[in-house]
Amino acid sequence: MLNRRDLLRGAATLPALAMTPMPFDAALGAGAPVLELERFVFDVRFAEAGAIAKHVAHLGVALSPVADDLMTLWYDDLDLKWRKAPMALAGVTLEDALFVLETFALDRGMHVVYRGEHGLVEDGRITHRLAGPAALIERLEPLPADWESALAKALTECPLGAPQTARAELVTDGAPLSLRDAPLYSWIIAPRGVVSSRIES
Amino acid sequence: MAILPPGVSAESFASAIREFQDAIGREWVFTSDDDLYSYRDHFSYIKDQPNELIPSAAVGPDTTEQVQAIVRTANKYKIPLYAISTGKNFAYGGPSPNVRGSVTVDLKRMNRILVCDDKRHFALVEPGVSYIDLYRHIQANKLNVWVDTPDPGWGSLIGNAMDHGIGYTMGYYRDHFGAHTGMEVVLPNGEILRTGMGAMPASQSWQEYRHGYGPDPCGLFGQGNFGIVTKMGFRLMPAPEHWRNGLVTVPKRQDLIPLIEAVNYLCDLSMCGEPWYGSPLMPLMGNTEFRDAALAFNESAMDRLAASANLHSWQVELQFYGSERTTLANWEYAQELVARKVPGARFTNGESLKTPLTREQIANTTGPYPTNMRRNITQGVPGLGIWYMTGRTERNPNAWNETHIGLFSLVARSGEGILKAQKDFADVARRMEMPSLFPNALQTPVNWYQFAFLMGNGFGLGGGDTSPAGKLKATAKLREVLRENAKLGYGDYRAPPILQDDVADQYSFNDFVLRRFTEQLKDAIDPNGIISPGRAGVWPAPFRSMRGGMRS
Repeated sequence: MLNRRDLLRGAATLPALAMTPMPFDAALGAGAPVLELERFVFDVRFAEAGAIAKHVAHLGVALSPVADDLMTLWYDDLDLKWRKAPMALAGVTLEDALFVLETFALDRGMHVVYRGEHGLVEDGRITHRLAGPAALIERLEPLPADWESALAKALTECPLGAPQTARAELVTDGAPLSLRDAPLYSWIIAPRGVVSSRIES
Repeated sequence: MAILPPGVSAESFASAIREFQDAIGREWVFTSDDDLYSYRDHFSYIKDQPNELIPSAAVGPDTTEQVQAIVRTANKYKIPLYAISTGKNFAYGGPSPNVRGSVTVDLKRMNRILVCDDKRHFALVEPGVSYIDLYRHIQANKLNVWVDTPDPGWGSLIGNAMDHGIGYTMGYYRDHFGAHTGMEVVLPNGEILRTGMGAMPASQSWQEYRHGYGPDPCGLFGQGNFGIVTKMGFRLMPAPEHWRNGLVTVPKRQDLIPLIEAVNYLCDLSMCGEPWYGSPLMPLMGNTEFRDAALAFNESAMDRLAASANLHSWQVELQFYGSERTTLANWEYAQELVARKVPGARFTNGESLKTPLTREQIANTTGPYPTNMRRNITQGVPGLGIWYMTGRTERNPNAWNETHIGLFSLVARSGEGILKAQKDFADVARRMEMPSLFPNALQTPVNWYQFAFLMGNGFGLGGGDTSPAGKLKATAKLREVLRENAKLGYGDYRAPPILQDDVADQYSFNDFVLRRFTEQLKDAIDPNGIISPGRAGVWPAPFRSMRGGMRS
């Protein structure tokens, strides 16, 4: 039976505010506990998503490839797991997939704690609009040309508790072979009781 | 951002919250902003505005008895309630109430499948049971029935039926409210009502004869506010052994008339499932000459340009359920019938597959001809893929993720009706300065309800302006479209709360006697007006001054 209160209980949500940059090590001390991801969901149709997934896999996170319809992932995997307990997961997908997972997550005591929009390649450049824990965002500033690798690492190092949040707009070179016609979204979904600072869409 | 129900003091509200907690447990009464976040309509045109339709609290009962206790407390303190099943009615308001500050009654915990009978072909479920849940139950127990799922399948059977939702298999099952088999309802005074044979305590056939004896009040609960449905039965389609589809195309614009006559005939003899209409000419809308002809509804020019492109004007994809032999016989008969009525009609065999289809067969989008059909829903398999509509893409640059409203109007179920509606809708859209290509001369109906056609008022935000001012302007245009459509005889079947008064205004026969009748009943049955005031434009006396309030 759904135990909703257990799932919903969490610290008060902090508003998403820009904050003064601070050194990464100060924001996320060495050895500080980070969110342990149980899944990384990525859209196999897009090269950047695949590249990030490859890096995340090297960091030891189980991959869940998707394309178009999330039903298989939901039906075979997440629904069954989330009935027992909430989990932490991250991904790089289109916006609709994030919407579906976020909506399900809200029913099960989880929410989005980091959200990044990676725009289309325009004039050889990609604009990245990021919002999430300040320490995570700072880690991505400046975003290197190999942004997929940097993002993969940052996604696996989300701080716990009620971290301050920040927003950033960063620009990198875009891969010349990127064929997508829609923004990609990177995201982290966490149990509300584990990371309480929600990032609204 | 704590808010109170209208007309309720902070002290009274606090007392009510304590009584809710005593009735269902503290852990199932939600009042914090964080807890209430999931009860917002994230597609709302008035999101973050002072009049956004958000609740003051939410309660999560687990039993019918707990729902009764909630209703009694709400009556005591005159607090409006708004019941949701899973809250996934996106495009039609999601979980948001009609009255800001209502207490949301979240029925997700009531998620028991009480009966699922694959010999008598029905199920009895609680409101928290989703299509995915019932599908999982059927699969796990190897039951020989299908669930007729909407698109997507994460919503509640009861919630979808209560808002007159639809599906995609055989005609009878597609009308989800029409396919119900009786219900249990907590009335506004807290009593439990069972309809049909459920009114007979020892009945063995509650789910088989929904009429019972005497007047049947069930219709009052669909899109209504006369009680909270806590159990509901549904007729389930027996799993067929075979599925087959085929494509019919006809050459000229006026051929739509005999084509629809033929398909109506087949559907109403239960010989085929949902027909999927379309136009093979859609690619020509990129051709300036054709587009100009289409926007001007110049039929002879469109026919000439279609012929020169070797394209037919209309298509319908038919699907057949049964055995291999009966589906073939029905498809052959469909070809014979259409050929008799429409010279030059062409027929293309689709696929012929033993059911249940494998996942690979369902996912397969290739076939003998291009199709817009989403195969999973034709097979009673829930999906989540429809949400591609919400993503911001080149195909969908107006970012429906910002706002999302579904408006579909009832149009006559005939070719003449469709050709007229195309012109009427396009004319209204032009007068409203809607920049979209839709409605246009190629728009076809959806036959979700077996005996009715719906046609989308296909536009997003005017100019794609997602600012608060832009959303207000778009909403005002939508209201005007609804008024203009009503003058032409097109009524909508479903709407989000911010437009429900406007849709209700369309149904104005005899000085709004229908609304006056339902409100007279509402006042008698729910004198404090606590159950979903304003739902579908039915306002109880204590809240009647709020009618039309969303227009300001």
